[in-house]
Amino acid sequence: MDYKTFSGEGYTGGGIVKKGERTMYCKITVDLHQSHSVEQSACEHIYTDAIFSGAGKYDREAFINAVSMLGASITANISNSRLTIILKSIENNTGTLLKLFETMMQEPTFAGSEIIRIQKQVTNELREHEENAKAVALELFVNQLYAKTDRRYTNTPAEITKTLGLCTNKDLKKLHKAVLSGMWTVTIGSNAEVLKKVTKAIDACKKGTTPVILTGEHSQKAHIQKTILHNIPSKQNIEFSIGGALPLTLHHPDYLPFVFGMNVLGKWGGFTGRLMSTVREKEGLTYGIYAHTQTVEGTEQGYWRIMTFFAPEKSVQGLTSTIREITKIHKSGVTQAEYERFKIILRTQQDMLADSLTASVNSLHGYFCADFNLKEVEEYKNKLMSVTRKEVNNALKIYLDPTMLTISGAGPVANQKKEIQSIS
Amino acid sequence: MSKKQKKATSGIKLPGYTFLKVKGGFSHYILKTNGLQVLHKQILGTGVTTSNITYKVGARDEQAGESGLAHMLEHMLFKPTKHDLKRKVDSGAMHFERDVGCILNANTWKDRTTYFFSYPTEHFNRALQVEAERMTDVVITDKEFLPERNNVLSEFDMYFGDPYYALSVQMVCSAFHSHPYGHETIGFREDIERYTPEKLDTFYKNYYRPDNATITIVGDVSLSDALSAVKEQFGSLKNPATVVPRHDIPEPKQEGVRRAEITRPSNTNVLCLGVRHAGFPTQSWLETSTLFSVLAGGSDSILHKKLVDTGLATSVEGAIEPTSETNLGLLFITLAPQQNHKETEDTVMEILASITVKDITKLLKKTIQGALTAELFARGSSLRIAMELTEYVSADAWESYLKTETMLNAITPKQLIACKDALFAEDQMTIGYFKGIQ
Repeated sequence: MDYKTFSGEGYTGGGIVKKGERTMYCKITVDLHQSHSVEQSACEHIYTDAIFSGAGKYDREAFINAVSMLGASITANISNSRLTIILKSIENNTGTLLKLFETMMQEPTFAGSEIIRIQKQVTNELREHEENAKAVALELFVNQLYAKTDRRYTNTPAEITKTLGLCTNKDLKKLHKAVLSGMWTVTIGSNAEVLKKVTKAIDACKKGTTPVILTGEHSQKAHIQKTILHNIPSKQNIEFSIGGALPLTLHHPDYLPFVFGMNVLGKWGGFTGRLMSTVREKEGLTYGIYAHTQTVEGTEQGYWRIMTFFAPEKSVQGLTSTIREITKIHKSGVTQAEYERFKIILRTQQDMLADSLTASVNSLHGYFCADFNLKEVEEYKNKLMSVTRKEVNNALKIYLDPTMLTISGAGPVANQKKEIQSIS
Repeated sequence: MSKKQKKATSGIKLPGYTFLKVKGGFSHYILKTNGLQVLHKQILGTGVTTSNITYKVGARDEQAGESGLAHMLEHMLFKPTKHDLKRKVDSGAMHFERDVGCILNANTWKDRTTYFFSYPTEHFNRALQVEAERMTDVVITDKEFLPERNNVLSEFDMYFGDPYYALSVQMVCSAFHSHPYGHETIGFREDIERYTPEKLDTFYKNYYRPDNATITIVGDVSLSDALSAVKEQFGSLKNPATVVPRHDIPEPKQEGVRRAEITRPSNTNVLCLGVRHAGFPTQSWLETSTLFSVLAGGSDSILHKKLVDTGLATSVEGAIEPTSETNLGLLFITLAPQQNHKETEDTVMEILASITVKDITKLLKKTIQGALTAELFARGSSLRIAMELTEYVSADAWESYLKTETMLNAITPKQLIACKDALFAEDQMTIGYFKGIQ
C-alpha cells in the first residue's frame, strides 16, 4: 500500500493507494463546533437524515434509490459537533456515486415535509435512547467534566425533543453552509484512478465556497469528586464510566507516556490489560472492563475513562476492585515486564492494520483530523514505542489521581445507590 | 492442461495429508493421522495471518438442563492447559495475546464453536501450538471454572437486559418444541448456575477432537509452510475411540401460529415476527436473507417506508442466522409511542400480503448490488475472510463461499414472492410481543 497526501481549496487529506483495489472507501470530516447549544444539537440530529432527503432533481426516495441501485452507500454522522461522511462503493460505480454526492452537497432541498418526518423519527429515537444505559453513563460522565457550551456536552433527550420543532429549513441551510465552508479532512482507500476521481468530486463540492476556520469553545469544569447515578430499572446491569479530565493535548510530551500507561491498565479490546486480568479473570466481576483516552486532539484537551458494567449486587465490589487497580498503577506504575510486553503489543497493533485497507484508512483519518502529515504520523507512532518506563510512570503519577475521579452509573441503581455513592 | 493449470487444481503433495480440492485460491486437505481438516488461502504481502479452528459442536448438542454448555466450554478454552501448568504460565491463549498483542477471540453458535487468532505471520507456529494444546488438554477445575462462570453470568445479564434478545429467547422456545435450536446459545441462567467441572469435562472430551475440527489459515503464509506447521502441532493428537455424539431430533409439525410475550418496565415496545427458514448455505436460505433485506434492510426497504416513515414504528430490522438446519428468522419492529401491538401486527400482515412482483423487482436489484458490494468489502482482510468462512465450514460447504455472487444473481422476484408466502404462512410463524410498562 502506497500513502499519499493532497490538498485543495478548503480541504486537506490523503489516501492509501492499493494497486488493483476494487473498492472505494472515503471518509470526510468537518468540524462544526463554535459553541454548543441545545438548538445546535437539535439541528444536528435532524441534519444527518435531512441531508439525504432530497437534492437537485431527486426527492428522498429517488435519491436513496439512486445510491442503492449502485450497491453503494453514503452515511453521515455528527459526534461532538464533527460531521463525518462515509462513502463506500465498488470501483465501477464510484463515478456515479460521486456525482450523486456532489448533488447532495451542492443542492440539498431540506423540504418541509421531510423535516416534519425527521422530527418525529428523532423524537422516537431519543425516547429509546433513554434506556441505552451505556450511552447514558457516558453522557453523565462527560457532562460532569464539561460545561454546556463545550462540544462534548450532551443535552438530555427531553431537552433536545423540546427543541426539535424549532429547527427550520433556514437553520438546516445555515448548518449546511457551515459544512460546505468548513475545512474538510478527506481520507480515501482505493486504487490510483479512483483516488483522482474522488479528489475531483471534492473540488467540485468545494467550488465557490469561502473556507472558514472555526474557533470552538472548550470549557472544562473545575473538578468535583462525584458519583452520579441514573436509574434505568429495565436493565440487568449497571453501566459505569470512571475517570477524569486529562489536561493534555496530543503533542504534550506527557501524552504518549500516559497513553502507554492507559494501555497497560486497560487496553481496549482483548484481555491484555490489568483490569481484564484482575477484575474479570481473577475476580469474575464483569464481562468487560477497558480504559482509554478520548477527545484528546491537537489543540484540545480530553479525558481518560474506564468503561465497564457490573451486576447490581456486585457493583460495590466491582468499583472497589477497579479503584484498587487505579490506585495501584498510580502508586507503583507499570513493571519492567509490562513495559517490555506493551512495547510489542502496541507495535503489533500497528502492524495488524496492514490486514485491512478500511482499518488503515480509519486510522490514517484520525491522524489527518488532528493535522498530522505523513511524516508526523510515522514519527508519532515511533514515539509511542520509544517512551521510557520512567516517563510512563511519571505521567500516571501526575494524571491518574484516584482521589480525583468522576464516576457515573446508569442502570438498576435504586437499591445500591447509597453504597455506591459511599465509595467515592 | 498446462503444468501450471494442473498444479492449480491438484494442490501440492505433502506426506501425511490427503489432498481434497483446490478452488478459488483455497486448498483443502485432511491430516491422515487423525482426520483434522485444513483449509488454506494465501494473501501475499500483508505480513498478517489469521488462523481459525472450528469445532462442530454448539448449542444443538446440549441436553435439557445443560443449555449453554458449549458456550461455557468456549470460555474454559482460555484457561490453562496441563502444558501451561508445567510451564507455570496462565493460559497459553492469554499468554500468547499478552506476549505479542495478537487479536484473539472465540464465539459459539447453534452448530459450531470457533476460535481465532490474527497476528503478524512470524507468530504462526505459536498460534497453532496454542490451538493444538487446548484442543484436548485444558484443565477444568473449580479454581478456574467458578470465576469464569461468573463472567458468563455477567455476559448473560448483558444480553438479557436487551428487549430484543429477551424476546428472541422466548420466541425460539415457543417455535421449537423438540429440536435443540429451541434455546439460545448462552443457555438459561438456571442451567448455567448448575454447571460443574465434570459436566464440562465430559462435553469437552466428546466434541473437542481432531476429526471434529477444521483449521482455516488465511494470510501471508504459504501452503507448504501452513501444512507443515499443522502436521507438526496437530499430527500426534488422537481421537477417542468413541464416535462424536450427534442428536438427530426432528421438530414436530407446527399447526397454527405460535405466540410469546414478555412484559417488563421499559420505554420500548417490540413486535417480532419469527419465520422458519431453510438451512445455510442453501439457495433457499439466501432467498430468505435477501427477502429480509428487501423487507427491513435500510431506509428504502418495504417495512421501513410503510412503518418508520409513516411514524408507526421507530425502527425495523431483520435477523437470520447461518444455521445448518431449519431455524427461526426474526423481523423486529420497534413500535412508536402510542402504537398498539395487535394493530401493528395486523398492519404488517396486510403489508406483507399486498407485496407484488412489481414491488420486489426494483428492490431486489438494489439488494443484490448492496450484498455484492458488502461481500467485496468483507473479503478484504484475512480476519474477515476467516470469520465468514467459519459458517460455511460449519455446514461442511466451504465451496459455497465462492458461489455467493452466482447464487445471489440467480434469485428472481417471483422466487422471493413464493419465499415470502411460504415463510409467513400461519403454520410457519411465531409472533412475539415485548410490552414495556411504565
